[in-house]
This record gives sequence, C-alpha cells and structure tokens, in this order.
Amino acid sequence: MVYKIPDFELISQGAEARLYKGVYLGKLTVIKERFEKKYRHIELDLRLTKERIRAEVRAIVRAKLAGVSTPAIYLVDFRRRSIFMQYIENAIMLKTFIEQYVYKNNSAKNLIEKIMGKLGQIIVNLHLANIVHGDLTTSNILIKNVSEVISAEINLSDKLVLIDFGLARVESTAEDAAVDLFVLERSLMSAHAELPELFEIIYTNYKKFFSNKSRLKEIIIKYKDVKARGRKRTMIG
Amino acid sequence: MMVENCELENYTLELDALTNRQLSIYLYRNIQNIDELHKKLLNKELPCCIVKANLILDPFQIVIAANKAALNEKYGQMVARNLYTEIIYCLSISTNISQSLAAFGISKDTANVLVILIHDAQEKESMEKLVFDCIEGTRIPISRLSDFSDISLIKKTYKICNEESNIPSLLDSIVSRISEKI
Ligand SMILES: Nc1ncnc2c1ncn2[C@@H]1O[C@H](COP(=O)(O)OP(=O)(O)OP(=O)(O)O)[C@@H](O)[C@H]1O
Repeated sequence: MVYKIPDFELISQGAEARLYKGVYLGKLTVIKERFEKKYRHIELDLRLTKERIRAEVRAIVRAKLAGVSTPAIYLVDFRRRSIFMQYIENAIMLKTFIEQYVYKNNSAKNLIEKIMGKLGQIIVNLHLANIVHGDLTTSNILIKNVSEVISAEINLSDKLVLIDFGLARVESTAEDAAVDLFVLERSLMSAHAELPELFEIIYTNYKKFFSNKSRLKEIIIKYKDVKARGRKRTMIG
Repeated sequence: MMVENCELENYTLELDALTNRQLSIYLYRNIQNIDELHKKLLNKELPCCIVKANLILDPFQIVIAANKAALNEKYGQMVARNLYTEIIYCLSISTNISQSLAAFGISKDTANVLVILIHDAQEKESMEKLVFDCIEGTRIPISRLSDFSDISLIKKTYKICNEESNIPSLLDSIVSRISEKI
C-alpha cells in the first residue's frame, strides 16, 4: 500500500485490487485497494481509479438503502486508492456453501430452494432500485452463520450479503438488468453444473416478486434477446 | 460540573494511524448555558465540537465522521475552516456547511449534547479540564445515548426510508451514508 496500515493482512489479490483485513477504528475491516497500473498514464490512472471507487461505493450504499445486505462503508480514501469497509464475519462464499454442504446432502434440496428463492428477491430489490451488480456469481455472495441457516427456520435476507460491486452501475437500463441475470445464469452453469436447476428457481422468484410488471416485461424481452445472442456467439465459437 | 454517576466510562479511541490523533466523546444532559457555549464556540474559545444528541444513534457515527474530518485535515482538504466544524460537515450528508451546522450543531433550545474532542495522547487531560469547566450540565455515561436518539428524525436526516431496518443495520446505513459523501 502507498501508506502502509499496520497489522493488516493481505486476503486477496485480484487483477485490479488487493484486499486487506485488519482492525480499523475498533472494527474488523476490509481495505480494498485499487493499485496503480504502471502502464497507464499516472493522472489518467488516478482519475479512472477515483471514478471506479466512487461508482463502487455509490452502488454498495444504494443497494444497502434498498434493503440489500452489503458491507458498511467506513472510509473512502482516494489518496490511498482505497475503500475501507465492514468485514463480514462468520461468512463463507455461497459457492463454498453449495460445494461443501449441498452436493453432499440430498436433504439440502429444500434449503437450497429457499436460498435461491431469496436470492431472486434480493436481485429484484436491486433491480427495482435501478442498480445492477454487474458480476453476480456465487463467489460474490457471502452467506452468514451457516450453522444457523442449516438448523433453523430463519429469515435469510440478512444472511446473504452481496460483495464486490466493482462492476456495478446505478441508474441502469432494462438491458443492464437482463445482462445481470444472464451473467448469473452463465456463472451458475459453469460453477455448479451439478445443480442445473439453480437459475430457474432464482428466475421464477424474480418474476414473481418484481412488482413493477411493465418494467419486468421489458427486462424479460431483453433477457431473451441477450440469451439468444449469447447462444449464437457460443455457436460461432 | 456535576457528575451523576461516578463510574463514567471513558470513550476514547485512536483515529486512523496517519492522523496520530485520538477521539474522545462525552454525553451531557440538561445543559444550562447553551447560549454561552454557542458564543464560545463561535469565538473559538472552546476547542471542541458540540452536537445535538438526538441526531446521533451511536458513538460510532461520530467516530466515522471525526476520522474523516481528521484525515481531511491531514491531507489539507478540509471543506470547513477548522477541524471541529469539519466534523459537523462530515456528519451531515449535505454538501453545504450552514445546512450541516443548522442540523447537527447546537441551537438555543438544545439541552442534550455530545461533546467531541480530538487530541494527541498527551493533551487529553488538559483539554478535558478546559472544556468541562465551561459546561453547566450533567455528564452521564455515553451508554445512555440511546435514551436521547430520535430514530425517525435520524432516518429523515440521512434520507433512509427502509422500513424494517433494525438498530445495527440502521447504524450501518448511517455510517455508509457519511462515508459516501466525497
Ligand atoms: N467485506 C468483506 N467481508 C468479508 N470477506 C470479504 C469481504 N469482501 C471481500 N471478501 C473476501 O475476499 C474475496 C475477494 O473479494 P472481492 O471479490 O471483492 O475482490 P476482487 O479483487 O474483486 O476479487 P476477484 O478479482 O476475485 O473478483 C471474496 O471472495 C471474499 O471471500
């Protein structure tokens, strides 16, 4: 980091950002630092970084205000090219949960249906607020307190936390929403090929809970478009 | 100074390591000399920030705003003219200093307040003495803050309309709102 923060450990190294975990202002915190791209002009690089940080924070906060669980934001610091946010405790990636629990448990069928149904509702809340996530995958959804989720009939909405809004947009169009769904569908097919029904559950609930029916109609039309184009593209290679 | 409870917990916390500073917060009720305090703040005779208690849900709300203000000072990018006004500006989602002061700063009829100090490790006691001596009111434990928080006013002030939000998630929304203004 440009200004090193004592006692923060690196937890993830991506193509655009490094994530650190530590204690900040008394709270467990993740610092997402968008590091410098040496090949880019220095001022351009800083301007792009600022824009992306701003867009990511705006989407995280808008989503939260729309009732979708996201990490709380503790600080936005352009000098350090960083977002400081709440570390989601006792959580694992939904991908890991599905791999470790659902694959091995036939009785998990009801639970996974509940979770996917809830996910459909969460995406509705995002899209009704004109936010698209941009990278909906089971790696970018955390599930909290897994043992509680498994053992009890609890409300799942605050157990599923959306992270990584690096590609998110606010003020999005019906087409953006359709692409959001399609990206999710594709990622489910490749990450969880053993459970081909996952997307269908999400999509059914999405259609059921999307209260603005005329907007929903638009999104469905676009979704079919996007899907047809995607298929064509795969056929061509 | 009257102290109602001799076991007043001390709310002091280190801000971002870059600032090298600490934050202390105190809760007072039944302030008797609010006009005098206001005047002293305006004349810069009182090195602290005083805000209405009813707009604060939790001390962490102050922590986030004060940390941001102290970093703005460190970076030479304050919007207000001094650190204590900057805290009030950071607490508010408005980008207008007068509006921020009108919302969070004290006014004639304010009775319950939070007093905020930013200091380095050595100067805390002397600053406390200076500030405490000027306040005619009852200092009470900061854990009593929730007795004074006006939740519907807080939601309105931060434009949070989410119906179901419980206290922890409301606090998350507030601090996120504060951090979002850049
Ligand atoms: N707020 C958080 N609380 C807890 N864990 C988190 C948080 N944010 C991220 N993580 C963990 O760090 C991992 C990477 O985070 P994220 O996807 O935001 O970074 P990224 O650099 O965009 O990753 P990638 O390049 O792999 O998409 C996540 O999969 C998650 O396990």
